[in-house]
Amino acid sequence: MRLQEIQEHYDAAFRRGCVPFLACEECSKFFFYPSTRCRKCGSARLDKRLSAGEGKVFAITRFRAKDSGEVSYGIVQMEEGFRLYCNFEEFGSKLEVDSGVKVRAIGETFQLLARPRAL
Amino acid sequence: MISGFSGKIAKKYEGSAFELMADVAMDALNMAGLGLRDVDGLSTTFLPGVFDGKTHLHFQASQVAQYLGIRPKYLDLLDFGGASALAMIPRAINAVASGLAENVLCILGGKGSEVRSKGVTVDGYDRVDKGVQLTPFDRYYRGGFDFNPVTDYALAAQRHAKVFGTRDEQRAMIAVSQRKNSVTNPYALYPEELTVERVLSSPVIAEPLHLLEAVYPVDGFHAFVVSKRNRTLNDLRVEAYGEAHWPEMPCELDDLVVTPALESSRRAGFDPRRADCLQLYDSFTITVLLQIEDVGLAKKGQGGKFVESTDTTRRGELPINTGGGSLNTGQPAYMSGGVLLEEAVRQLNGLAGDHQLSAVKSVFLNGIGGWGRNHSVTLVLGV
Ligand SMILES: [Zn+2]
Repeated sequence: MRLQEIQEHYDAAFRRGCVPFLACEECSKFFFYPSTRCRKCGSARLDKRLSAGEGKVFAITRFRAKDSGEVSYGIVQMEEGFRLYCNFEEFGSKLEVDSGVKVRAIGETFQLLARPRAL
Repeated sequence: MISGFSGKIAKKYEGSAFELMADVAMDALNMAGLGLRDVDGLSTTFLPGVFDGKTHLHFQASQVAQYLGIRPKYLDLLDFGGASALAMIPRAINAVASGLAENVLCILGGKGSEVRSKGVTVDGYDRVDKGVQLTPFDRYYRGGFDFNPVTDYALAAQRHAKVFGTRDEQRAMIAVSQRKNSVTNPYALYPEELTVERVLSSPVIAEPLHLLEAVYPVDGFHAFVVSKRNRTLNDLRVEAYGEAHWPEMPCELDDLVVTPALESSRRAGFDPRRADCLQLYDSFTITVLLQIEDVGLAKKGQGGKFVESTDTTRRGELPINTGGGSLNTGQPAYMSGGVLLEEAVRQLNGLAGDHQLSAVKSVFLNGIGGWGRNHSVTLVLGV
């Protein structure tokens, strides 16, 4: 598969608010950050998939950004078994490691946002 | 082996990076009793922005050679960030041993102030120059706020706290001990003593890290001359060496609580307790804590307990960062490796002044570099 084909899948997923990922058909490794080769076994037999968006906070930090006030940032462990970096929208209730979150993508800016699953 | 060295650090150096670089290089050569004409090997490194705000120097190593008027037989450019300094030394020694060169000038540094003034770090330089790329997939990675060394190490510190119960106070003790080591170091920026309370009452820069747990980016260069014939300094030897490069995104590692120092130190195969002191990369307190575990001073997860129960000041049983480290000198051009290496060479030559330890026979160094803790170099120097 060409990188462009993967990017088209990713861009289309982001436009729909979905989180794309790749699954290796040789070794069953799942990963988010795209490549034309499985980073575990080198296979080019990759399946383009869409995540259900459900996951858990793996790590989270908060800091004060110059223009945007307090920013939450970190890593989500997706239920399918891969991890990605994203921002968190906490809506007042502080997220912790292992809190359930739903991740959505924002097409134009390619930002990933996770919010508490209950919301 | 190392026949001369020099280091100069300033919060803000008013001249060009090339000027400061040349001054430091000349000082190191003077110590070695050499002139520019004797230099036939050159090794250097580069990060975006640190040479007078330029994103990129086209053929950087050539430009350094051109400025100094050197025509090297051996020319190298290392790209391991903070770990580059330590990796230069064995490469230069190999070059000399194999007859490629007789005197290799190793230069590292630049101006952190140029990058600082743009409101970014070198690892966020893509925010000010769209020609900079951090990963092959920035489009899907750089959409949001804001991966930088501070948030990256904050996440590592948070995982360490979550997985092992490490407390903020334990990390703060590292800053306190290093400050004790720096009070007699003329290169230190901060004269006052530090307490755990003061560290923890400094502003939170990214939870759970505090301002006094992080290096301050400054301007500065270090130069080391590796020579076939050494007339001036103690003849040092590399007692052990290992490097490891983990290119993964940190989130794709099993966890954030290990660094490639685990692997580089294993390759070196030298028990760090046998060394008279250690110089561990100290971009943040958590960086030191992670290496304490990864190089084998403490079991994984026990680093917090280790710093509570071990006196790591220069008068203690296991001195770490004997000059106070870059947490106290500032971090020249976003790379602490030169600070670690200069301190090790000083200790091994009895040139550490008021913070000299007695009878230093070997120093264990570990450098970490890359924006996701990608590189680790373990180097044991002995006399
Ligand atoms: Zn595979």
